[in-house]
Amino acid sequence: MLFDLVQIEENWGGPDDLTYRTVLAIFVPEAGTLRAAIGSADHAALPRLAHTLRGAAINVGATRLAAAAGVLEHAAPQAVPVAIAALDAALDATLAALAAGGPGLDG
Amino acid sequence: MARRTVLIVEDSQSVAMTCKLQLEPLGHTLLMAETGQEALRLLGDQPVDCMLLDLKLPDMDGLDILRDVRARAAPPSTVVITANASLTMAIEAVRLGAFDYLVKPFAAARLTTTVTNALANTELKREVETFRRTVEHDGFGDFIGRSIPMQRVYRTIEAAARSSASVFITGESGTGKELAAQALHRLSPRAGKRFVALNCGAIPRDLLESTIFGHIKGAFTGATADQEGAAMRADGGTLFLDELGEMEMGLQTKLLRFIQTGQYERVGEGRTRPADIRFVAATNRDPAEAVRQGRLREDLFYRLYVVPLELPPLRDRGEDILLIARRFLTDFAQQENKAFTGFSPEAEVLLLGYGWPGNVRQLQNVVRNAVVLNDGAVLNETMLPTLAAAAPVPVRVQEMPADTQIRRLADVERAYIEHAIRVCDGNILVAARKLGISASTIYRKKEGWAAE
Repeated sequence: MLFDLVQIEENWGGPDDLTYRTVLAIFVPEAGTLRAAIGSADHAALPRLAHTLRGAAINVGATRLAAAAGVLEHAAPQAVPVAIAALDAALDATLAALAAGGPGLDG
Repeated sequence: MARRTVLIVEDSQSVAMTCKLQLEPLGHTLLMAETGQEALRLLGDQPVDCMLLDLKLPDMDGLDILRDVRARAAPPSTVVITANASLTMAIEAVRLGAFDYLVKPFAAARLTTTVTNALANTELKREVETFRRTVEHDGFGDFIGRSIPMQRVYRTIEAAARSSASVFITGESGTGKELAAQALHRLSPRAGKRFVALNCGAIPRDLLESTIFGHIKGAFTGATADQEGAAMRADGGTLFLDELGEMEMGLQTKLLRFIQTGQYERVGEGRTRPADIRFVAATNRDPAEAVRQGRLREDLFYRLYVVPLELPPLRDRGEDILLIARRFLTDFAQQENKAFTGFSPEAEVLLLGYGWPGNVRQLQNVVRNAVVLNDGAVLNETMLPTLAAAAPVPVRVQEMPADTQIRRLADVERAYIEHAIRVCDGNILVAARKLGISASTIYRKKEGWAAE
């Protein structure tokens, strides 16, 4: 599940809410910036960047991305490459769904 | 609730925007910080009433910000924002004094309710703090006194100081209108700039305009050089206009334009200059009456009467009279090299019973005169002749019934009140005033007598 529609319904009144759409428009470039930062960050900076991405993802109900960011946030050093790969996949899927019109379409 | 300032400290732009959009309907001023350093800078720049704080910031630990904020005077209530996995940190934050925490994701209603509660909490804490401080120090700023009417004055000053809204002070002469204006300035974010006070009643009418706005050389006879006015000196600060009702109408129009546009012209100069000024005005009479009489422009009055502040007369301030008198006694005794250390109980009774038409200024003069003219350790009632002369005559023994029979006090009281009502032709209001009690006391007593 990419998006938690129940949560989006409860907290925003639905995926078509104007405020929600406004926040999504900021979330998309923010997620891109954080992805780039994670790609070039040293190990010490990773948990905080992952934490920020997780918070931003939870806020818009992007469940799978939030979970992937949470894994990276707490990953042991040897697990970091795998966690980053999983995060990349989740980000790709989430951003693609948003580009296609956002939550509500993907189920 | 009045407009308050909420600081949002959050490094994620989309989360910060979420808070901003959800809080906007409350109508408060919203400040945004992405880093801890920025948050601390904003907290130093202006008074903040509530802080939303993300605990994980790029440059510092949110808990350190919390500790820093708690050490400040009149700190804002803090609401910690957390993602559920870091709940232990949120609990730690509450232990460190955070007001509440919000777990991401949260609904708009949850956020606005929490912030509104936090703002109410800040207000309450500040109220208690004002109360505690005034009781501890017997005063506030340069004010001495902790009476209930003055506590209200201090709270209004503290609340109004944080905004740049105009304040209109009323109060009899000698009640401390300029002290109040100074306190407003000192507690405001403008404290670093100048406080300029002008008494419109004390400056000759034809000089008042150039005193406020300044003039250029040759603007009028005697204008031998360019002169800056109060407007320029008070730029960024506070301009206090006392006895505003004494300003002539033409100048009131110019002042109104200045307040509305933030622009003024020096006398004789063809160009306008900007000035950012917080206005505090005062009159010692009812300003609404001055408006009715046509001595004060109504639009100017409403422009300045945003926050009304009424200073109580000294006679309504109870024990404050003694606190102030003792302070003056200590100060003047030191100045005049006298040994006075206090008042006699009889002198204190006189001070408390007097009407003080000239308020604190009169009390100051009375104490100064007594200190200058007398010697001793104790200032007694014979050293306060003006007050003794004005004191009510005590009931003399001759007015008492000649018989030796002692009657019940309640009977004497009833007889005397009924006597007073008869003398006043049955008018209970007049009788009550002459007896020095309230009419409701008489009505209550009459009910009691009827029940006997």
